[in-house]
Amino acid sequence: MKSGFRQSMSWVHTWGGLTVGWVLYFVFLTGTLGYFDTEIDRWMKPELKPETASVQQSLATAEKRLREKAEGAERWLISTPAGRDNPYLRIFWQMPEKDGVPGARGNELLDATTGELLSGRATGGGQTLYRMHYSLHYIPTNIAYWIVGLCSMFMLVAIITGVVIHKKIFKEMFTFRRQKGQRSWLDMHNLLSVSALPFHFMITYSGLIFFVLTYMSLIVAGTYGFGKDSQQQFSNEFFSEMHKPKPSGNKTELADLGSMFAIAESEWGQGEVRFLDIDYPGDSNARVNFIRHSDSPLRSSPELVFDGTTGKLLTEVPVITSTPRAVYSVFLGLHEGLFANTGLRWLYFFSGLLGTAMIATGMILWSLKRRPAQLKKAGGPDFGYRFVESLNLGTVIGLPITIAAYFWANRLLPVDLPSRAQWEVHTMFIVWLICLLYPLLRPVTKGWIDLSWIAAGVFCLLPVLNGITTDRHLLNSVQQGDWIFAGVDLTFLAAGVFFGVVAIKLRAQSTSSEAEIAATKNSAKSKPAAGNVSNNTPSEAC
Amino acid sequence: MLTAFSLAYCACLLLCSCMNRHSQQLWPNLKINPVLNKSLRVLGWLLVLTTAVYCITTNGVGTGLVILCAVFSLAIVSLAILLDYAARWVPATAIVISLASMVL
Repeated sequence: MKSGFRQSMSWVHTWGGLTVGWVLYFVFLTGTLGYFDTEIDRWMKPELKPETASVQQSLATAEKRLREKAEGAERWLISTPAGRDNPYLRIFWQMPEKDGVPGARGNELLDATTGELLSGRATGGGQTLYRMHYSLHYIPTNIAYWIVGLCSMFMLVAIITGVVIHKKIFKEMFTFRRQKGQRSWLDMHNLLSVSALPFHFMITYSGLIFFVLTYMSLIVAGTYGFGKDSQQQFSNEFFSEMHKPKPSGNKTELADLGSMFAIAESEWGQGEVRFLDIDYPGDSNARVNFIRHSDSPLRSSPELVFDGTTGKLLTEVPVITSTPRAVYSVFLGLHEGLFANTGLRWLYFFSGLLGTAMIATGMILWSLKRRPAQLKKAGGPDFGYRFVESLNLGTVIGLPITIAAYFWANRLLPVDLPSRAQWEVHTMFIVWLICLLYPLLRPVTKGWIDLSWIAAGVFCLLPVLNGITTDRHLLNSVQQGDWIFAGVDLTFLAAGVFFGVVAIKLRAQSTSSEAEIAATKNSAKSKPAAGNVSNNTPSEAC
Repeated sequence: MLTAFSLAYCACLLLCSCMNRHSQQLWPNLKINPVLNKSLRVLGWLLVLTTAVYCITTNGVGTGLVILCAVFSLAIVSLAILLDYAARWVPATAIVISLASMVL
């Protein structure tokens, strides 16, 4: 650790950032793609046509299916198809607890017209990618939450220490100087960090708030005590669910959901209902709660509570029930951005990319700063340095290739392959492993150029692959005004072009530095006393 | 959204016009005296305020503040990169974006 406040902060920023940088890069990139999760879902199930069934038909289908699958359930949820967030009919059920064993739960996407399970290829879609940003993959969810939480904590520390060590936040707010080696990378890192600083802080802090009850469960236990009942009491108080009645045990037919839906729409307006939350369906104390779409960063929304047996409107739960819950809800809402319209959603996506690039530039800076000293070492660069350099390459360029591989797998894996959705993810991680091992085959400098070209190729060819394997090629989508499909294809193309430009720039720089090394060698030969400055390790390419 | 972005972009343009390094990039033949420099700075900050007021009045406080942060992020990054690669285009882009926001 260095002496002096700023130096100490700089040390924390550098080493804290490096330790968790690769996980954070994964979290940021997959999380950023999550802003277009339902759009990616649609692209990955190209056979599906947009849902056209009416609300009444959807409700009848959902109720019929839920009666078949989950009679006597504790809770049903029905999301009728409406808008971007719910393109298809979704149902969820939770069976009651029996002898201390939690009840079974399940969810399905249905064709609202036929009542069958939603057809189309088996795929993880955008949801799997989005879920990876907080629950990772292949490891138990609870452990993943802790890993992501710890990394987010480091990120928060890196953001705060970054502000402390940046001496000229306002003076250099618009400063970027290209072709100045390390200086350019630092400028870019600063620019990406400062320009979206509110976003970076918000997204990291709110990410921690999401799992605050996991990370800080002892705080709750300190007031409410340990044990399930105490936790339940806290949950009821915090989420204001104390007004909910207990089941009576008397069976009664559930009232017509369609009529209640009509009342809810007459209160709020058409298309304003986000989903229905039904407590104890089939019980005489059944309650049907209608939840409204949120149009602001406040994630909680007003609810209309109906008597499930008579269909009468009982009460309206206000949007803010307590200050702590409102604060919690605002952070969650800001993080998810579900209230965002198309324009703001793109800005969220862009800010997420800035965060991802900020992490990437930070990690690249770490190795660039140490490169001159490492190149001068007699036995070549240290193992630690080479390890970081290789991980940087395998992650910064490797991960985008990996994500492209996920989309390629979606189009190329046989439709009837068992566990197809899982194989999409396996493909993704196999490709990532190859990218991580790639530096063993090639010098890192060449590796950067190679992988950038590969990334450019796989992204640029994705719209072509889509055109060949489905009838929804780009021109078709544009002609039909299907901007979700066209948007995803065009974003792939943009990503491909970006990596192409990166590859060209890296090659140009590599060529010029090779020429410099050759010139240095020549001058060293003519003046042996000057010593051999160059080394056979990769030249500075980035 | 485009109006908010054009306001943010123009605000950033005015603010960097009063910074030594960027005023030389933007207006290489113009000598900016201290009075003009101060006026540009005041005007820039006024435009930042206008952008905030515009975002909040059109979208409410919550969503408005989110849009405000997002458009400034986009404006700062695009301006910083343009300043280095094509500083001469910057005033023209500001005019085009402003006109587009009025028309669309």
